[in-house]
Amino acid sequence: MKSCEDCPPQVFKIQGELLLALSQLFAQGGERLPQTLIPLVKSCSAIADHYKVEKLHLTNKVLAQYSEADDDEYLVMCYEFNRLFVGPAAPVAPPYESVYLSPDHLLMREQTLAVREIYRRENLQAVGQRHEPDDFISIELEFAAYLLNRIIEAEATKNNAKIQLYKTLYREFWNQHLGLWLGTFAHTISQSAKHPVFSSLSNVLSTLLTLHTPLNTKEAHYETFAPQISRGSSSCCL
Amino acid sequence: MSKQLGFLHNSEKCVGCRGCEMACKNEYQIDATPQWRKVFQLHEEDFSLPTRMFFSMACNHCANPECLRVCPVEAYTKRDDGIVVHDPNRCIGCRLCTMACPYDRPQINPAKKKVEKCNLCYQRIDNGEQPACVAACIPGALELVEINDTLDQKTGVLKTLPGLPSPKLTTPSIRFIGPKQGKQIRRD
Amino acid sequence: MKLSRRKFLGGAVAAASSITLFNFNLLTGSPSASAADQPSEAMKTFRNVCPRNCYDTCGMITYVQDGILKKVEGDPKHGYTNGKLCLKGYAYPRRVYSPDRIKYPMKQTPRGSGNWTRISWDEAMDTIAKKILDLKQRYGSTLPICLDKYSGNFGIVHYGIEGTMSSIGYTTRAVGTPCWPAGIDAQTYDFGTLYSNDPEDMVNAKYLILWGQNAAWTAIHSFPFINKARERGAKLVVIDPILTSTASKADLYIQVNPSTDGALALGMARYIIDNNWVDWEYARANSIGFDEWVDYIKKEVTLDWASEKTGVPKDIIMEIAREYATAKPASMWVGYGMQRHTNGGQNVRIIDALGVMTGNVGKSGGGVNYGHLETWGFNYNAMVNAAPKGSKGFIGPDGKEGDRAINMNNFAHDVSAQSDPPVKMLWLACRNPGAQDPDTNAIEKMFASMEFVVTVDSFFNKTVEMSDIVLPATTHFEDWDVMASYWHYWIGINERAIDPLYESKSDVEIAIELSKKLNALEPGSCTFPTSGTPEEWLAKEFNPGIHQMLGIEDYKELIDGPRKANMPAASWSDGKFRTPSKKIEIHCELAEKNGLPALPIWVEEMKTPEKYPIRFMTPHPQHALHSQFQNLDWMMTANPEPKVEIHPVLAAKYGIAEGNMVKVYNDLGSITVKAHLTRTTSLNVIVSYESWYKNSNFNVNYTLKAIPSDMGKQATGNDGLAFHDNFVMIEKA
Repeated sequence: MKSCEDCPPQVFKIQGELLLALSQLFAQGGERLPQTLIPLVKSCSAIADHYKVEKLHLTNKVLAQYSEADDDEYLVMCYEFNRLFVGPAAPVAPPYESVYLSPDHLLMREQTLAVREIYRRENLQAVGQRHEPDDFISIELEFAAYLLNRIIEAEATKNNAKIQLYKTLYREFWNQHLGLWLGTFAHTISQSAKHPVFSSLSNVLSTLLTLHTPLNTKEAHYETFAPQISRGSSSCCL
Repeated sequence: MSKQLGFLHNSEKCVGCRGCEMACKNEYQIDATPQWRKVFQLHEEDFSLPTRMFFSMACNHCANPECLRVCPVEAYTKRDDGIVVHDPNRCIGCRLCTMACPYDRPQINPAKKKVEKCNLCYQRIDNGEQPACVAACIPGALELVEINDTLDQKTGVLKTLPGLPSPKLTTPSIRFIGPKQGKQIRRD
Repeated sequence: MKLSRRKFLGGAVAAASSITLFNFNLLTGSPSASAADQPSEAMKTFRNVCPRNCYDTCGMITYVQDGILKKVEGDPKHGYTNGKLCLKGYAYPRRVYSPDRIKYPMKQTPRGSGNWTRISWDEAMDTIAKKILDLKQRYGSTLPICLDKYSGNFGIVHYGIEGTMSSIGYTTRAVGTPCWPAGIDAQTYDFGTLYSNDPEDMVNAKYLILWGQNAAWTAIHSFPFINKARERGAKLVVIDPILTSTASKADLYIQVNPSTDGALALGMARYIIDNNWVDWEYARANSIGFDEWVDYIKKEVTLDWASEKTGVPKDIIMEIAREYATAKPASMWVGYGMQRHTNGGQNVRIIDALGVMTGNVGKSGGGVNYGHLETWGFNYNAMVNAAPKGSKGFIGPDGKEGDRAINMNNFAHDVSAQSDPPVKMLWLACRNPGAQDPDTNAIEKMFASMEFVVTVDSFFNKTVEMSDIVLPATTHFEDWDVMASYWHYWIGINERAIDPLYESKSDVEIAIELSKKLNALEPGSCTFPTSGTPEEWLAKEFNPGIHQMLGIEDYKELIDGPRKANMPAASWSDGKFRTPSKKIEIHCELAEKNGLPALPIWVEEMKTPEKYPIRFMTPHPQHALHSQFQNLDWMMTANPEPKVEIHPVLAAKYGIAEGNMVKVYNDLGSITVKAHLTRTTSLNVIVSYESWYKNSNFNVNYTLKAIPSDMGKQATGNDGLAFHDNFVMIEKA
């Protein structure tokens, strides 16, 4: 994705697969990690191979190792997943954009409505709209993967106008949404994770951001200020 | 300027319920940290008898606003009705105003790194409504008033309360009716 | 920056999916795509009612746009709360959209470990239903299942929680109320029930005594009416061991010795008798035993005694006695704080008698006002379910088979004490005993001994922490309901303003799901209906009596605004008391039968133990209602930490300075909390306001013994709690 404009379709494909693997991992939750970790390892591996990112290979080794964990270990990962992302105790890293980008760290804020509107312009809406915030990480990731898929489809039919259109949409969506908060989110995870799988997950998210850096040309519209992060934190990539 | 709007706070009626404080937050869904309006408890030692007495203060929309004077980017304007309006789009978060205001009412929003303050609900006023805090005040201790000589000549209307900075600094557009203590039968 | 606007392919829903092979999981075709130029809905408003355990039960207007709650306001059509909310009410949007909310059903293994897995509603219901059936099979009844529900949400449809239990068989029930039972019984003995004047009628009082009542914090909407009375010349007297915000506004504040309020009232009565300000005609015509009580006072009560007991100078007792007896009408508001003593009910009975002797009962502008339940005559349709056929119950002392009642106010002890059969499973809803019950250590121990604990809640409080399964509760903005007040006479409807968030469900929806599951596993094992929308359930709560009381023909009329019950301003103005004798029972045989004095005579207060010489009062907070609200971000900013108020003289004795951390302890346990030195409290009383702060273990109830108050059994099933008879020692931590 270093130069998005010239990417061959298979790069969009592996990129999209990573987004979907992450989307499913968060959507299906800690209880389904035995099912969602393996696709993540696979797609990370493809990305790491393609971009020759050594760090991602190392991270992925950890993920791969734990993807073969026994049931007990998976249960430990599940508890940690829920502590970090779900609850019932106040989650450490709630996986919703507005928690990081709205200054008051609440849900259903302007970010939520903004992504709802973007989905709508694509004739889409979240299945759980009005129950589940539209800026839930899995929905945003799925939407991003969908946009990549659109590019692939357009390329297959050599529809240049549509290729450009979806490339622009993807870039804008990334720059204005996922790209703005995944860094803080990843950092929050890394600060608190008590299990190597989640430190690795945090690394994957950070790598994903790094790969998108050339896209990230506009200045962040919001200050990132997750509740768990001290101000001026340097490892946040925004 | 054709007039000066301001607040009249009646400490005799105020029971410190903090409804105004939260109504302000609710109206603008203000973030957790900045408190545009705040209820302060007066010092127990300032009274002859122990007490829980309060006053409520937001921006005082001063006749001579220091915030406006010191702001390097002209984020502050004063309307014809005297309301001092702060424009967050111009604000650079330099905090000169928070240091200059003797009442500490422009508040930094640490998340946005910008200053915020009470704009006296000017949109509501322009719609013929009361400011949110005044509309929410249950004991009727907070009023929107025109600050003028007629008001100042009324008995019981004070320009300041014990412990507050001298009104000479900025000529704040707030008036008070002082707290009144009843009789107390105590065991200490 | 917004994405630039584009129109796609005619905007048909099908278009998006028909031309892409992308396999959606979380997104779907949007039905509103054709409305491409209307990104935002217009603001809609809904009527809600704050359902918390509070005098004011405010009418609310909720602003909703795009399905999102934007802000709340008071409902101007509500004549008592008059378009205004309290500080807690305004913080509601923070509650609804807090990332801390419990979002899904979850299971903890083992209990207390912090190891939580997310489960589906189906799995939750399956686990719970199987546990219920298992217990029923093992013990031959559902009595090992115990419900503890109280006041977290007082909406009428929420009585479906009790209905859930009824529908599975006879169960063990926490019965009683921690809040106000001693005073309820006092008024039940005296008048037949609790029935206060319309609080709006306080404007007609010429003299107002707030007795142990901090309206500024717990009933703020009464102030306009109190102020109006004062503008008309009424004097405001506040009697309280603590100089509260309310007391600070009084014309006269009397710092009475805690738990001696009855002695003060008796002293006043003595002086009223001595000066013949007694309304003999009213008292003799409307009560029985009045002369007997007068004889008692003449024989046993002196002003010197009353003064010594209460710490109130004689001349002050005389002053308020004269003023109260001669103001005509004079109103008294008896707060719930003053009855939380071992003699609390008796003290209320004495105050009741004071009202009777001066002819202030049954009068506009008068009354001995405590609360009422006159407007609560709903169907309780969701609550009433027959036990399944063949259910085995508990044979009560009256020989009847039914639920097994245990004491809500000694919950930890009573749950553990059951043996035939033992309690094995708890169901908690609208209740947080982990934070609110006395003796937290005992509560923790009891929870640990359970086989299974289910809690329905919105936030991860101490009780959820000790549960096996937590079910996410809707907020009242996500429910249909109707609310009455135990203070004012208004009734309002609560609309579903927003869709339930995440997977939260209301208590009735939970009952429906449970019933489906139980009947699938064992047909006939649950009688709870399995159909009906939330609004249909609401509709079933109304009856002709309520319609007539509110002057409506259909509940839907309440969507236009709350209605006030058509009742006289003064309670008991018809003189038809509901006691066995149909008169005010100054001499009450029922009380005597229950082992209490027949007359409102003095009963000694609990003595301060030598080892723990300091009284620790833990009244209601300002930023919270029990364990609700204080955890929200606005509240944590405005009131970031708990404090203990200590008189400077007492603090000096223990070397404690402002801001020091203080250990407050007794035999039961201890808490450590920051000191605030203030003369608003008494010399030998320290005060800390009960509350649940976010990320804090602060809980005053670690030190609080489950000491019963003297009354409550008659009307509420169990005696109340002497929360304010808690004694401790302090030291600098």
